[in-house]
Amino acid sequence: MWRMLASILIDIPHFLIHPRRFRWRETLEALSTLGAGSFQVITLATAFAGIVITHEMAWHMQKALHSVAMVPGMSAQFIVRELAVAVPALLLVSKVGASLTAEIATMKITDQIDALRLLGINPLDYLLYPRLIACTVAGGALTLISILVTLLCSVATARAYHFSPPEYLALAGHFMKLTDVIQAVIKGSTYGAIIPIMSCAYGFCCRGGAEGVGHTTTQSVVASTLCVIVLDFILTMLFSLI
Amino acid sequence: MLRFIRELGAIVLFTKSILYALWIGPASMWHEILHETSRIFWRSLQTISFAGFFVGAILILQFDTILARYDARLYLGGVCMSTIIRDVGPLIIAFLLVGKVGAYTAAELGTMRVTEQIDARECLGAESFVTLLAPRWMSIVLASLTLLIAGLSISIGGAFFLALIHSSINMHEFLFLVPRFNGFSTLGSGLLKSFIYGLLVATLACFYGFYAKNGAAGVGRAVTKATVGTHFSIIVANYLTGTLLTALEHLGGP
Repeated sequence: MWRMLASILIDIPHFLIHPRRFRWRETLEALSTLGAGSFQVITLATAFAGIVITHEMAWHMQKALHSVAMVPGMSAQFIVRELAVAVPALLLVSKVGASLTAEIATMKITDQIDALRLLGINPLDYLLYPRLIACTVAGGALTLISILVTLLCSVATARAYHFSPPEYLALAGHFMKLTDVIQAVIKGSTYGAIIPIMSCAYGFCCRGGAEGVGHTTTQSVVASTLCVIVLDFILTMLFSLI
Repeated sequence: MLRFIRELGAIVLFTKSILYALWIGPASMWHEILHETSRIFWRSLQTISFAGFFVGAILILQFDTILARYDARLYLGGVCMSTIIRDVGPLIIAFLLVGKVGAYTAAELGTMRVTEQIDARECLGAESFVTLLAPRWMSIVLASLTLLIAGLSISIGGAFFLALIHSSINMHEFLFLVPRFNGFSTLGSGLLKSFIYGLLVATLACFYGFYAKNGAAGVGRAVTKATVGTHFSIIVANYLTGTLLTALEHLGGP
């Protein structure tokens, strides 16, 4: 597995400087199935998360200061910096990562990957890179969309605490910077890129028939989730130092 | 929409059969359940602790930046700890649990189904719900609850560790406001959420795994369905329990 992962990581720069290896059709296809396919689940889920976090923040403020004056600022910042980035990424792992690994692992155990090699097609060109580009783009775009949806739900929830939407936005905008949103999109794209890399690394090493596919899928989902959490820590640390 | 309602109904009936099987099952089943629970617990503890530590660390970093903009670092310990226990901690650790325990179970049961092992067992007279599903379901519920509690404790440790080395506050400042935020309601909310997430992981993994079909590709599809379904229902459950608890607190409060 580690050797496969290393060879993929080494091959990525080679792909970047050889545009002829890029496949338009597969990339667009992957973008529509992976990105647009996850759109529904992710927007609905982050909407719920936005409502919950606004109530939670209000509870905290009530406890700490006996006033809810800081609710818009705190919840909007928490949404943009963490919630609307981590939740879509983790959902994307289960939605895209699991099906990608299962697909590639099934191709591997039915010798379809060897068949691709026999036809002179580099399996990475055909299987990994279209999905890698699609997931990177989709990760950033979905993060942006879920920030919008979550903020919208938070604005609606804050009405329960007597904040009108313009008031909320003014209070939230006071503490937010454009760099927060840019950092969120960078994070989202990075997590998106992790998913196909891990799926391919695990899928290409699948062994042991039908049972192997199930186990490989599980391992890849767990590894991708861990990668997202650890990368979240590293990126947050880096951004907080800037 | 109709398909969704039909599936929901099937899941409810499935849970009912499992609970009934637990009720009529022999006493020796509980021995097996405890054995299986400890097996799942030790198998997943390492991963959960690793993730838990980082969840705590991430939250400290985020709240440190946010609170610093308000010049209110004093609240870092209290706010961060109760956010970990009440809301974000169980959510993210349960997400990992879905992959580690839920997907594993769905894959195992799905493989047993498509290789006709379950049919073979039934031919030999073993009642699937009593001998296979009920013990597994119960042990996942118990193991998830204990793993979530372990993960939350470790993430509090992670938060504490990072607060000391990263943000410029000392131990007393960190612990000063912790009791104010972390009363009975916080702990109760964290425990209730952990229990509900455990129920969801166990039920959906067993359901989708047990009814997998169409060979190897079907197992892959069952695993994907189980993970996505569980993730989504965990977020909805988070919303529902959050609303319920807030309503209860308003009733009980002044």
